[in-house]
Amino acid sequence: MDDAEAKVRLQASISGLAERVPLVSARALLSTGQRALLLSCLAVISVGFLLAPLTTLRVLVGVVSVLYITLVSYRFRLFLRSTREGTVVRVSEDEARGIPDGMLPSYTLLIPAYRESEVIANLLRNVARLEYPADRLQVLLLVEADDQQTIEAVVNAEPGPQFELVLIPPSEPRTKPKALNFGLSLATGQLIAVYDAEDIPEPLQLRRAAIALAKLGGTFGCLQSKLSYHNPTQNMITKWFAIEYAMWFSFFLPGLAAMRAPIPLGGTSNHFRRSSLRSMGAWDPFNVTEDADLGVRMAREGYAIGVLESTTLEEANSDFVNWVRQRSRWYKGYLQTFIVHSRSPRKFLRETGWRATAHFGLFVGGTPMLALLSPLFWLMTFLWFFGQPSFIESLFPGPLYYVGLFSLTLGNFLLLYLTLISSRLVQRTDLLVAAFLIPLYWLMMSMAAVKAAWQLVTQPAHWEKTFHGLDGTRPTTRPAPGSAA
Amino acid sequence: MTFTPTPTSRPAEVTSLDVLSVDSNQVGDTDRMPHLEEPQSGRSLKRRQRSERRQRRSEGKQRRSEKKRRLEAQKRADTQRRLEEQRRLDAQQRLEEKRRVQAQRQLETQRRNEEQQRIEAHRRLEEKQRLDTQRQLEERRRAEEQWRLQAQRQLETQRRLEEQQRIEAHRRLEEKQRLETQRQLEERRRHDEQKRAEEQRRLRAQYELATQRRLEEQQRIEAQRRLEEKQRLETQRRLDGRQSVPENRLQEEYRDVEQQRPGDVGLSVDRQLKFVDQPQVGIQERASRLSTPTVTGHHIGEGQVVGVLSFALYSSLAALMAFVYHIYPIDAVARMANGFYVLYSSDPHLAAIGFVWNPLQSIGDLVVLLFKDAWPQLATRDMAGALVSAASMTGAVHQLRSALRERGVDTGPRLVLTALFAISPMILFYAADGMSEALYLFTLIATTRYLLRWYQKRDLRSLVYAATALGLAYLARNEALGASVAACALVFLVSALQGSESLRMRLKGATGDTAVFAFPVTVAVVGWSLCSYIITGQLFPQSRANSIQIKVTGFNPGDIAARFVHELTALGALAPLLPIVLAFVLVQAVRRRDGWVLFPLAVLGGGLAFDLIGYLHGSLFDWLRFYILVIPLAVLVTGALLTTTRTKMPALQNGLATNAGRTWLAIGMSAAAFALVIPSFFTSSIAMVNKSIGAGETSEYLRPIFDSNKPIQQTEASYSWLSVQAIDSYLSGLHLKANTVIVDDSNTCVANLIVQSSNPKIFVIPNDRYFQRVAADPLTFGASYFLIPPESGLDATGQLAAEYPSMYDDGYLWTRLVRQFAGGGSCPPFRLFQVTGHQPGVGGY
Repeated sequence: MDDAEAKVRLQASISGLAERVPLVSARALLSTGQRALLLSCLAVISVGFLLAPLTTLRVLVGVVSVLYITLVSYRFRLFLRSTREGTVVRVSEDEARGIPDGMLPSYTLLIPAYRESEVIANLLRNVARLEYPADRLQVLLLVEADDQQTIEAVVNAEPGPQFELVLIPPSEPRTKPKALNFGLSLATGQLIAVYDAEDIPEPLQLRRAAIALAKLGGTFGCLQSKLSYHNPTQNMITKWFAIEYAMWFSFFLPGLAAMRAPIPLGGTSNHFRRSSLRSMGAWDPFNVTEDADLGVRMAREGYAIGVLESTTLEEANSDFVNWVRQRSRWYKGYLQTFIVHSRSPRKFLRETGWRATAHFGLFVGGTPMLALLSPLFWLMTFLWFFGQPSFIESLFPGPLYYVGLFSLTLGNFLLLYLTLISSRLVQRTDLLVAAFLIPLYWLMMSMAAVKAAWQLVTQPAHWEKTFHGLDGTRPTTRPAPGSAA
Repeated sequence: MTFTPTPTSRPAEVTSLDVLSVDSNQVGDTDRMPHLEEPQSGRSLKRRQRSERRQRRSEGKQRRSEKKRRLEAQKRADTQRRLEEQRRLDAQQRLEEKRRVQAQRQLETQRRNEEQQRIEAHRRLEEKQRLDTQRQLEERRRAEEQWRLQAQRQLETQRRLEEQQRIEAHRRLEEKQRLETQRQLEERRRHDEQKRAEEQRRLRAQYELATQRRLEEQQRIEAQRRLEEKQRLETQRRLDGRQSVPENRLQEEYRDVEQQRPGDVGLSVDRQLKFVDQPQVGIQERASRLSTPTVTGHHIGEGQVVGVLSFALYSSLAALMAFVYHIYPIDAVARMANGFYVLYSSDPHLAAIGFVWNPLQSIGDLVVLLFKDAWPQLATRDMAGALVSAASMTGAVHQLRSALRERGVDTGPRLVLTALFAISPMILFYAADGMSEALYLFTLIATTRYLLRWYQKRDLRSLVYAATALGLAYLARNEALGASVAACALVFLVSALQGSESLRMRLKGATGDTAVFAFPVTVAVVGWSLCSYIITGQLFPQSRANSIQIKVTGFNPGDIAARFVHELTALGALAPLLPIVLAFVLVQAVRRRDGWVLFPLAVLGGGLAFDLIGYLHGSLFDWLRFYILVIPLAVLVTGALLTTTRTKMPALQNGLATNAGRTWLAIGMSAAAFALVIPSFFTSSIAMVNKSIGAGETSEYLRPIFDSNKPIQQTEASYSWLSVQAIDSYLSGLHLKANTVIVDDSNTCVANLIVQSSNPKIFVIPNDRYFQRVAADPLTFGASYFLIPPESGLDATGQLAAEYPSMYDDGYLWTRLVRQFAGGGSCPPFRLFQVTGHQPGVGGY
């Protein structure tokens, strides 16, 4: 690949989507209409505060309470839906092994590795463990051309013939989706899978995915494998993280899939058809959760997404500061995705129908919103018990009081119960104590959400810079580019 | 402008000072002047000479002094003139100076102006020159720029064209690859589809073949049967013939085929994927029904019919009991009143729901009471409570039927058992009276049913449903604690003992299962206790109220043996055949290693055990309703006995193989179900109206109805009703304002009175947050009446009785007895006191 070609590919990777479909690109954040809507909302609220502060506060509290209880019940609904049969796509082991190699499609694995020199050896071993004919497997290691350490590590590890080292010319934005786009332009496989460098996929995953995609037909654009962690007991944060992932991939995503809702993909172990991925412009390099955005865009294009019963193990983020950073990036990305896709609600509605639109709002918009609203309620509860009960009471007149009480008791009960059920589901009773302490984790989530929202408000222009700062300061033990969910 | 003192002022001051000093000199001079007149004497000449001399001298002196004076005057004038001159000169000088300065300043200004003008002119000139130069430069630069831009644009266009061509080429390549892939995929998909279709065709063919074969076989059998029948008849007519219908083996085969039909539960998705046309069916919604062969297609209609029938039956019974027999069990009214206070009392707030009972029934009543304005009888006749009971019991019937269906009890015996449960006397009574038994049955039977589902399917969802139902059961009645303990233990055991994993893994799973199952009920217990503690200061006010009640009423259940006998009698009356059936079922369960029956035993039996132990301990009354759980338990156990689908008995299996056999079996099973349950109808009916066994609501309210000597109007319930009516009509005649009558609603007649009242807000009750203050100092808060029952029995334990122990009998100086109402039924003679002044030591003093 000469320089000129690399440049063309790079250019297409960076601005391909933004030029083709600027409506869904996160290169610019707020549209004019959205800005006007936001400002007029703020104006109405501030005028309300000037004219009738108590009434305005009551209305706000009412709206927020109803929103909160809706979001929490929606989560529980997803759980109930996901426990029915047939929400997860299963391919039995026998069937997976039973297909002759000659019938399998060609597969390309895209593995972006940015400052990952330590895990390269593991990566090669894990990929080698995958049961898939080598002549039909192309593994693209996507490495930044100026990342000497990783390049050396790859060269020293002497990878097999199916591995290809792809050097991405240094350019901005230095993000995972850009690397993936670049890799996709070189992929030859009929099917594409994305893995992070430290992932340990289940050996039969590719065969299962290939069979399932073939059976499910063209309406299915993507299969998301379940993700889990191999270090859940390292400390309290990883325990909570593991429970949360269990909830996410065993309940929420299967529930969403069963209801044909837009699914925010996890950033790894996605299996696509190359054709469909390309036709829809692949990843948005300007979105900090390009995976979630891609899921939503797939829904807009009419593709269904399934959850594949096959687990990939990841390493959980165990450091508090890093956890908050990572989480605030996810929340920011969700907010970004939500904003990008609500630029033209009517179009979204036309493309996906009202059900999927509601799911999209409740889940993609609701996830950071729930984390943002919770501390408000905790604060009010705290004040109610220990501070100024009369003021808090005056905020909840009549029926609103019951709504508030309902969301306080039922909301916390449901969320705590879901956590408990999740820890049971992953067969980890050693996580039970962590499950009961999960409110502390909610506190961490809220901190991250506040940080995300604050950055979204104060530094919309410096969006990419924030992203770089975050991406540059990855954990020293296990740096991983991009996001995981 | 700077401020400078004017030059004239200072010399003027100096002048005046000078003048002053001059004057003072003058004054001094005049003082020192000599006396001029001297008298003449004898030695005249000498004297004259002397005097002349003296005169001369004095003249001279005078002249000199005159001269001197003149001189001085002149000098003074001179000085003055000089001074004036000098002043004039000074002034002139100053004026000149000023003028000079002015002139100089003018000159300077002028000079500066000129200079400025000069500079300005110079600058303007320079500026003009600079601008000219700049403009020229600018023009030149612009021209250059334009030229460069043109060149650049040309270059750009060229480059872009090249770029486009390159991208186009790239795209075309990609497109080609994509098409190729698509074609391959398409081909593969077509291939797959072909395969699928073929598979399907094969299956359908097989299925059709089987159907055809079955039909043929049936026809053949039918023909043979007819032939045989004819032969038999003929033979019979001639001789005494015997024949037998050959067993239809094929039907059994067909049943197997039918059971394996795709779409049935138990298929994993991958099998589905093979058989269905629509590829996305794999995650399509599918009803999660258990695959019992007998229920396919029937149960939706069945459930609806049973539900509608039960609700209609229970609600009409409720109306009958309320409007015709005036049966409002006091605890039912009190529960409804608690919900009523939350909405309609003088201080409506949620905590007014009270903590003497667990709240679920009151919450249910409260929701129905929202429609009180449309139908006042919801409150005045406690139709709210009755409707909640009716709906709950309908739910209980539904859950019971579902549990039987999921167990695999055939339609016939299932319907018989369901119906016998639904119309058994105890169930009927508590389905229509607004007590909390119906809710309790509903939630506990639901717990049993979902736990059984979990046992059969091991799905977390059923476990979660069961757990939630159990949590609600605790909120309905305390006794659910017993069910919780037993059920948690069973869940742990079953989870730990079953399964193929290692013991370690099973123990882990069992811990998790138990945690999931126990969580909601734990939250309910802890949450409700915390609420009670925060508001009443007691963790379990309900048990305290109960023990006070037992103490006050002096209830004596006899010794342990007597209590035990009482319990056995009550249980025996409600489910006489349970021991026999249970023995059979337990043997069967051990032989088949089937733990099904353990679940109703743990949940319903656990709840029952709580009451049995409580009564043995002497902390519960002897009310019959405490044993109501044994009724659904008996029905479920009977159902377990009558399950045929898992039987291994060859005779039964053979019987099941033919249509006629199945019909007979169904009839037999239904008859057995009927026979095993119907005796309880007689025994429980007798027990319910028996005063010692049927203690509580049933004998109290039902005895008078069936006592043919008395007309309905003379029952105790009717008398209570009338006495409450009398108080209400008197109070409404007083046209009182809100918060004027202080009452203690721990007497149920008071609760009854409040919900009957056209204006419930006139009462101040202990549930109001300001009750203590108002009761202590009524006049200050505008309250003017006390309505008090005699201080005996339970009424002596109320809050008002504690505050004013001798009010009823003697009154106080600051109260006046207004009226005493005649008691009636369960209502004592109330007295109405008017507050005439402040209590000594409070308020006005």
